[in-house]
Amino acid sequence: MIHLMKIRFRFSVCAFVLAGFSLLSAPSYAQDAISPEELPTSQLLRQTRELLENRKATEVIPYLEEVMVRLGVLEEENAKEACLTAHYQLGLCRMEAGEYEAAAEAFRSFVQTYPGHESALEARFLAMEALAWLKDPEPVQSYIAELEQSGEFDRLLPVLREQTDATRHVVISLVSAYAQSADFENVQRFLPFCDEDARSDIGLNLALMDGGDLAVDNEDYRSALWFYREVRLSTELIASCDRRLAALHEEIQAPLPWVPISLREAQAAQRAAETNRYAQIERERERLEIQNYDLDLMMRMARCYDGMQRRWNACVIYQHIYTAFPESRFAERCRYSAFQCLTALEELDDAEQAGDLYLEMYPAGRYRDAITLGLMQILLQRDHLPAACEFGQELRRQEPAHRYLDQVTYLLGYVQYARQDYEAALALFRETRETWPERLYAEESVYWEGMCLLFLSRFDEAVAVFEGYLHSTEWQSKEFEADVTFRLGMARYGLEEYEACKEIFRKFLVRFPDDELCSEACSMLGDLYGADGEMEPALRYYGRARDCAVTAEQESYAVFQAAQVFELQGRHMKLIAWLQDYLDERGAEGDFVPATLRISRAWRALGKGEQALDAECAAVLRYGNIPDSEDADLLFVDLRDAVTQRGGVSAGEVLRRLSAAREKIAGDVTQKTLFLRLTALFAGISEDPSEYIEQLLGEKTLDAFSPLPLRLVAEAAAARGETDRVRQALDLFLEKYARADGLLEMSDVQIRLLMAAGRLEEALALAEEVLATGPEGTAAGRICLLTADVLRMLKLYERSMAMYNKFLEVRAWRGPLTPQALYWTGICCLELGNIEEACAWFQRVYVLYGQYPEWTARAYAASADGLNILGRRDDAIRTLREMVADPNVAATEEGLRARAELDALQKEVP
Amino acid sequence: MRLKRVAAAVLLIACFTEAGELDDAPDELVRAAEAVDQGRLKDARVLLARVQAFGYRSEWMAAALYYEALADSKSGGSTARVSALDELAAFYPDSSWARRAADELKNVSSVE
Repeated sequence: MIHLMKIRFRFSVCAFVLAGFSLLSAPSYAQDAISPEELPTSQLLRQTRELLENRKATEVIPYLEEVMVRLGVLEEENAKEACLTAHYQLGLCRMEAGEYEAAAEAFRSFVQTYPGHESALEARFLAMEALAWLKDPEPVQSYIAELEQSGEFDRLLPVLREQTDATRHVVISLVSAYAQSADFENVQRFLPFCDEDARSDIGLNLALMDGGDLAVDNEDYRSALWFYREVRLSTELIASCDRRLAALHEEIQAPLPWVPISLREAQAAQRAAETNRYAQIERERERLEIQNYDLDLMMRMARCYDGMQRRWNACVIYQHIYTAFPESRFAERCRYSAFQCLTALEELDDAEQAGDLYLEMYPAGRYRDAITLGLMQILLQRDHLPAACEFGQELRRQEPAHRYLDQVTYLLGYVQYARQDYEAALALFRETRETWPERLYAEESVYWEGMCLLFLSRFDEAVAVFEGYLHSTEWQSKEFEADVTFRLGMARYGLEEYEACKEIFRKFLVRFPDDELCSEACSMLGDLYGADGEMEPALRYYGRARDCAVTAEQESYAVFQAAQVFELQGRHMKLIAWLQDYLDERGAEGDFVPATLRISRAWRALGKGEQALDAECAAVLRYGNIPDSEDADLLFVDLRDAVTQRGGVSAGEVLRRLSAAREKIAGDVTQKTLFLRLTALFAGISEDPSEYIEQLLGEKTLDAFSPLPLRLVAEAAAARGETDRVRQALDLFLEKYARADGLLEMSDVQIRLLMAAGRLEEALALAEEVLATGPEGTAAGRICLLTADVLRMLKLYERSMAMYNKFLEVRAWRGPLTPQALYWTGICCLELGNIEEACAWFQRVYVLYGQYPEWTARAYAASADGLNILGRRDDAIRTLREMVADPNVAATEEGLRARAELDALQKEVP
Repeated sequence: MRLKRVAAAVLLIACFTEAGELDDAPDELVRAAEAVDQGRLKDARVLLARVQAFGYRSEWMAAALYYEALADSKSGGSTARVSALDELAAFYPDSSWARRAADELKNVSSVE
């Protein structure tokens, strides 16, 4: 660059100075060092010319200034031209002398003085170049802004495209300056002016990287990514260096061409400059080899993707770095970052594997603590609470200096809280707060401490914790202020301080009007006023609660609480309108089953059974086509039960209302689910269900079946012994309705069917499979009993007895099945030869469960058999007499046999 | 829709092949497009990430961004989708992929 600038300098002297000065005066050869101000004009001009020709840039500056002063006042053309030349040369000399700011000023004033001169354009460019040499990017940027404003900048663009060393330097300086201030638009604008040599400038590339860094600091990841992508890789720059070195080498090796003596010095300087340049490129190359920034660049790009939450992109880069460059200084960090990405992507298996591998590779690594904390969080995400607990406790025991021990302790508290061990959770939250009061989780721990106390019903302590938090000055902005205020109200409620409680919730609504808990606060106020018998304010609050609800649960709670108030007040029409409005607004997304049933109940309370049935039938048609909805089934079940169990509604009334609709949708694939539900309903209420059952069994696929018709199909198929069809129904049930209430009934049917077919092993496998899901309710009891039955039939008596005992231990399952369980336990004992124990079990049946004559009869008979085996004949006869004394038992098969036996005995004994 | 997208990808590959510049990027892109269609979203995301991470100067970037947004939509995401679409619109505004994305994906939270 310097070389070309000097050529331009020399050329300018020839073009301007010689012409102008030769016209002004004859040459003078005075050599004395007299100051320019003291020189006569002719001598001043001659000396100036000599200095310029000898490239004494620094020395000539005062001469040029003096020339401008003296000739500036003259009107002659020659003088004016000489003055112009001096002005231009002043800029060039200042540039050569490294006085860039002054040079820029000289060129700018030249342009100002001679705006129409043919050199004005070049002067503008030179001003820009001079400013570009300054370290500070601001002057050049503001100069460009100035040029743009005056419209002159567009004229400069062709100059920038020239791709000489000078323009290259200007463009590099400009782009670098803009990049370093992350001026995305201007970098985009000037980067195309950079030719391949300019793009290979290491400074430019580092500046682009700086631009990216600055954009990252400003969280402008998209621009940052653009900056980084524009950076040439070190490997590319090395290749470029090699190219340039080869070209220069050729140039340097070539013999110097002949030039006049006056130009030899310049020629030698040019060669020296080329040699210097060669050495400089070699140094650059060396630097690039040593400080290869390619991995740095990749890391930066990955961080951008991380910032944009495009974790896969980030993860792939991290994985590439540690896989392809395992020895790199980034490898460890990349393994950690990849672990974090995978965790954020919820690729928990991969994350766990990555975390474990990190710990294996870097047992004392920089990120060990973060990784172990992350692994504990993964266990929590997977809901593996015992494993998370064990892991956390192990960390607390083994690694007391763990950097994130506060979080580990906090998470352990969370685990215990989730396991409902509130005492343990309380201790851990308290420890987090007390041991690490300055850490992030201290504040959160206070909240959970209070929550634990709430759950432990230690309301006074909860109040103390919550109030302590609210009055504390420890946290500047209290993140949990709203939550804590709400829970404080709950704690006061627990203390039965209802007025204080109301006050807190009222304040909550004023203080946090946009909080998500507002609806719940309103509902609490509704409940409090309702409990005091103040129904109007209660209704107002429930109304508000509905209006500001942010979740469906919040809205439902408020809606049904208000409905209850209307019901209590006997305002049935109001209740109907209120719930109808809710249904109209929420539709299938709302709790349409209880809403419909309450509407129906309200009509009945008004003595309007027809409207009640209309409402239910309308709801059945409105919601009955929602596939996979177990709730929709409930509407049909309720209608069926109204006919078959509760009474008051006849099958005819239901059929009359729904038959036409059912016929209309028959064959319409879009209404299939509704059709099947209606068919199941009709089968349930008709005197002769066979037509409907046949229709259900005739369906080729079960995809559109909801639990209700599916169960019916299973039962009908079981009755016909179609095991495969039952299994098909059960499989679909397991797939789609694994949590549905009807699952156990379905399994029940299938197990019975398998038992009846003698496929006991299969029956046992299915029963155990169902029991492993942890079923609840009475249906679960039936499965438990069936399992015991199968085990008994398989002659696995001890296991069978254990299963019967399991059934008998559950209080909720006690009922009609209990005498069966007792009886069969006795039978198992008999089979095992424990006769006395067996008799004791039989005795429990006929002593305690006389209301079940079928089983008491069996128990009496079995007991008598047992006593006979034991040789206690008298006791056996006494048992038989007791048995026939109960007319219900006497009428059973066993009872009749006992009567016959006793009669025979009587004949034997006179 | 599915056929249309695969056809578009294949057509572009053909153009690329003619230019004699075929490398791993279009191959991975086609595999990614297939994976998106078949719902193998994790595979798709990894392939697309590779195209973007290691072929960011290739002409396949716009297509990769489109498929990234599509895959993210299908997996129910939104942040990455929005970011990929922004990048596509900002850096490749005149590409056919940007137009297609504007038509198909801009206001979609879950495609298909």
